[in-house]
Amino acid sequence: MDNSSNITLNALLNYDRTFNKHDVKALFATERIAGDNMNFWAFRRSYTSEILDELDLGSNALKDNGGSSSVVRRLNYFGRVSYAYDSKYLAEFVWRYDGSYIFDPVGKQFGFFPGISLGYRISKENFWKDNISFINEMKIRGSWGKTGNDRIAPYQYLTTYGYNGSYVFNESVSEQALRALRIPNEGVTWEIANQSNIGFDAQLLNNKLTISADYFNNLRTNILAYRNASVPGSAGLNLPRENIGKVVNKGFEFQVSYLDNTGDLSYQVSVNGAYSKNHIKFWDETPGNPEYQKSTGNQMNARLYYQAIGVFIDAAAIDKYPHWNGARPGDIIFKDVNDDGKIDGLDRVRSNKTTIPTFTGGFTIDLEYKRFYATILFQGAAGAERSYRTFSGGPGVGNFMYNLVKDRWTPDNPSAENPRAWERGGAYWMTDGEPNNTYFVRSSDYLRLKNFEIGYSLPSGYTEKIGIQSLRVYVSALNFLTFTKMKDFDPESPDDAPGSIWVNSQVYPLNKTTNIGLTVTF
Amino acid sequence: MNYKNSNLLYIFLGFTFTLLLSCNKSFLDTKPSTQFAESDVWSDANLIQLNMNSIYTQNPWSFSWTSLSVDEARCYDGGNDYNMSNMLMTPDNAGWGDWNGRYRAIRDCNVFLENIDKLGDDQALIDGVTLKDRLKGEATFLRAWYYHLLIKYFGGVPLITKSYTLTDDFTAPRNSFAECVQFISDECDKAAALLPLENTGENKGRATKGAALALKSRILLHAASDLYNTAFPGFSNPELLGYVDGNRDQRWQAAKDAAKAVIDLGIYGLYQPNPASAEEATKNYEELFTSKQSEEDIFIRYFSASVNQGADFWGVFPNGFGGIETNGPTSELVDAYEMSDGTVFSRANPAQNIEPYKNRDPRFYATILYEGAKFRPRPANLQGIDPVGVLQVGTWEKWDAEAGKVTYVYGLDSRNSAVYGGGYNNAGTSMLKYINRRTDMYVNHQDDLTWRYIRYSEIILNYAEACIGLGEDVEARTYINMIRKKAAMPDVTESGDALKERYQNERRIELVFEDHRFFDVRRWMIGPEAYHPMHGVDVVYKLNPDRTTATIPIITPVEITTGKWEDKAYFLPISRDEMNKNPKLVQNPGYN
Repeated sequence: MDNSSNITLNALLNYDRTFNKHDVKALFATERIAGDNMNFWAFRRSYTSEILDELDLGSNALKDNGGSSSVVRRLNYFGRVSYAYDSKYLAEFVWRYDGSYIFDPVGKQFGFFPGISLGYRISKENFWKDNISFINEMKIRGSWGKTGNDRIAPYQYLTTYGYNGSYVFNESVSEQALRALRIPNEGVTWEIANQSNIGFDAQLLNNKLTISADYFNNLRTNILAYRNASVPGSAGLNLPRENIGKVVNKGFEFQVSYLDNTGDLSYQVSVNGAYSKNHIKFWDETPGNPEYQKSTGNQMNARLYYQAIGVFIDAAAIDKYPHWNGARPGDIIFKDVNDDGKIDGLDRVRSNKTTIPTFTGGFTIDLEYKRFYATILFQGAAGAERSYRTFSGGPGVGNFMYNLVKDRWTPDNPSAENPRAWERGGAYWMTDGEPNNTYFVRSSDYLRLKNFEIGYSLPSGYTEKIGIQSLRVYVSALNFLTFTKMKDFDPESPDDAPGSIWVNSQVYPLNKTTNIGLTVTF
Repeated sequence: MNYKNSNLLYIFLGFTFTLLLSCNKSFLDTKPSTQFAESDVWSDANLIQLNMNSIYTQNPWSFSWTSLSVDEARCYDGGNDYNMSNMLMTPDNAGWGDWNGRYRAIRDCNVFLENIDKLGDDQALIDGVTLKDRLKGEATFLRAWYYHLLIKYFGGVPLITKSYTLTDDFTAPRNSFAECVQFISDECDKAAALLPLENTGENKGRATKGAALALKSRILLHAASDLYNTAFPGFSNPELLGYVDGNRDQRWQAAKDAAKAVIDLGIYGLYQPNPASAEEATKNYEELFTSKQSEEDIFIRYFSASVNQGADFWGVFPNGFGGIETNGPTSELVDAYEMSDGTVFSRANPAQNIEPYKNRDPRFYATILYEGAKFRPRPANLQGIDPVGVLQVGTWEKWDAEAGKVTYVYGLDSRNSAVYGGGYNNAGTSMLKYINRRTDMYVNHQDDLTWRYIRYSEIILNYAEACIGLGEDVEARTYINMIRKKAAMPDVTESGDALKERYQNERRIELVFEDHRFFDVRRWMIGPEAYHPMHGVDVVYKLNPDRTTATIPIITPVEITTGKWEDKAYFLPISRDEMNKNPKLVQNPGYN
């Protein structure tokens, strides 16, 4: 049973006026959100009869109940003033002043988030019309704005205690355990994103060609993160979130499409793409870590890996190169990154890639020729990596990829690309499911023919003779072709299945689907 | 819109805005609806007690605990245990000792001790002490307990006795081993003065005066041991790993006195100290670990299936009885049990080699399931194959007359079992200690368990060991023989080094799987004896020349894991992360 009341009160003042070529709009608004949620559940099992379903009539032996509640309070003021002159010069100022119950009432609840955007339809200028007439429409625009984020667990400015497990006394008396949930951070407040962007929209060649492009530079500051990289375990703290991170995310996106027809052929071709890469300007760092392991300067969530540089051919090869204690022929060679003559945690290097691609793009073609038609969609991504690993079954050896097995190191095949067969727990280069080195991390760049379809519609003259209004035959395919170096896994699939060896649904390769179809309308 | 109407509109809007703006301050100020505020907790005796419970819940335990990391047991699949056996521990795979977990519990104790005085005074006595004294005593004891868990792995660690706030400097150097021992010992004295002698009713299971004195006995015995009185060669900070001055005899004396203090409380006893027969001794030993309470209990933790907080026996049950048997006793452990007449077992003795499980120390039969040992009824569908319910890890060679060749039938608890071949242990044995034979894995994995962190037998042995350290062999033998008698084993009569050797084996057997051996082999500096390739047994019922199958199997020790010893393993590494976060730390030797 849920008892929720979520009341949102809005008040808006709107002003809209046009005089001569001036167009002025203004909005002032306030919003008050109050949510009170309560839920309660109870059950009994073992009803003797199905006729009456009252809670009270079930068995006394099998019954339980529970419940919880939460509150939400937000108070936001926001507004907008926009001005346009002759639909040529456009300017807008927006602002928000947001209050959130998540933060400390003493000065941390409210954040001010202004923004400004400007536009210039340069193609409306006479000099443009007179001189650059092949560009029918050209608009240049830019914006800058701040937004706030408070989506974290509430009350981190307080020390609160919650129930956490229970303990048994006197053989069988269960008592609850109450534990401090975290130490407080009185200073916790809004995370801020400064978003700026500049771009243009254009239409050319009698509006056949449309181009739009944007460059953006977003700076997130006061990022709400845990300071667990620098606070030692001996402090014993359950850390609260703190406003400690600073990350810049820069990139561009574009879309170009061309639409035309010649004779019986009509076609549309479009290309789109986006590039973005983030870069940590400030992050909590473990003080003793070497430079090449720092998060700062890298992408967010970039991981540390040992650098796999091959497989030990034999015992002599092991003697020749620094190695992990207990290394055997067929083991993966880790690079001695700091040249100290031994392999240890200092030889891990922060990856310059993450599981998120830096470039994504697509390419579509639509064709129609007389009664034939075709659509083709390619998509691709680049700049990401994902783990290539096995999910082991029972104890000892488990399930292995054929691709890892077939050219694996054996005494008879010592110069193999892949390491020897290993037990799940034993190898230093394969710790329980988590890849710790670059051998198990591979580029997931791909280009994929996601979808294509060709078809033909029979002339209605023919079909009507046999009582059919229209008849269309087609062949279509999904995921028909993929160009990638990532074997066995779908390069589009998420990387984060670990933790559970059962989450296999995410890692199975995609189905390739081919359809041959006939659409008949009577 | 005419003039009059728009005026009305403005009035309405003005009203709404006033409404929205007027209560903005208090509107956002909410309180958590499912969490208690700090001030509410520390003024409420009931909530404070629940907070104390959370310090108990962090006390670790496990059936296999340190067994798999020393020569007690092996499991087929275990990264950390493999690394320990093969001396591959590094700061990069360090997980031993759960540094972070221990310090979280220590912080909770610190917070508790800093706040407990906010509770009003109430002179009412429960079990002879006030509530506030009891709670202070518990927090004091538990903090000492969690520190003792740390120093057993690491030697001296930073002694942190205040709770940090977010703006503090968190770096802290390691205290010397001597300081840590002194701290734990002093805190135990403080706690003992505050805690009740015995708890009654729903307070059973909480720390007592005896628990505090017993922990003191344990830590002072550690302090007097070889490991902490021998300099680690070439290590720049010897004070972190042991004593650099003082008198060792005084340490033995302190250890002896501390054990004696527990004995002199007069409230503990050995469980069934005078059995009438070997069979009775076996039964008693098994009962002690399946009973809910006993006179041996000094510091315990209850698990109860009736409140859905039972111990999960699935991990240690034999796989043919519904478990996965992760704690497989090694051949080395099996061989360490003496014969029932007190002589040493030897594979070189032909009769003993053929029937290794015959006529052994009575405790053996209550600790280890071996080929043919009676356990409990099989599930209905398997009773045809095994009507009695015995452990079957062997292979039967059977003659298939039709095919004219040998076929192999695999035991129900073997790794080739038809029931469940996923068993994790290839030792050819399974752990019986702690297991209640009435537990049916096919009904519920959980059952009741009383986990005994400290029991009286340990204190008796601690006392005996301290006596040996002081050269008081007569006194030592008296106490060792109390344990022997309880087990229906003949007295030891040796002196000097021979007595020490008998004592060490006695402790190994009596306290097996109780989280002692791992630390004892370190204290005694006998690492090489405990770390080497480990063995299990291969059990085969051979085909006789007349093509019948033998009824007595051939039991052959086979190597199941590799292993070796390096002295660095006397202390465990502090993780690289922790080292890097706290530049004042010094790493243990062999891990840089």
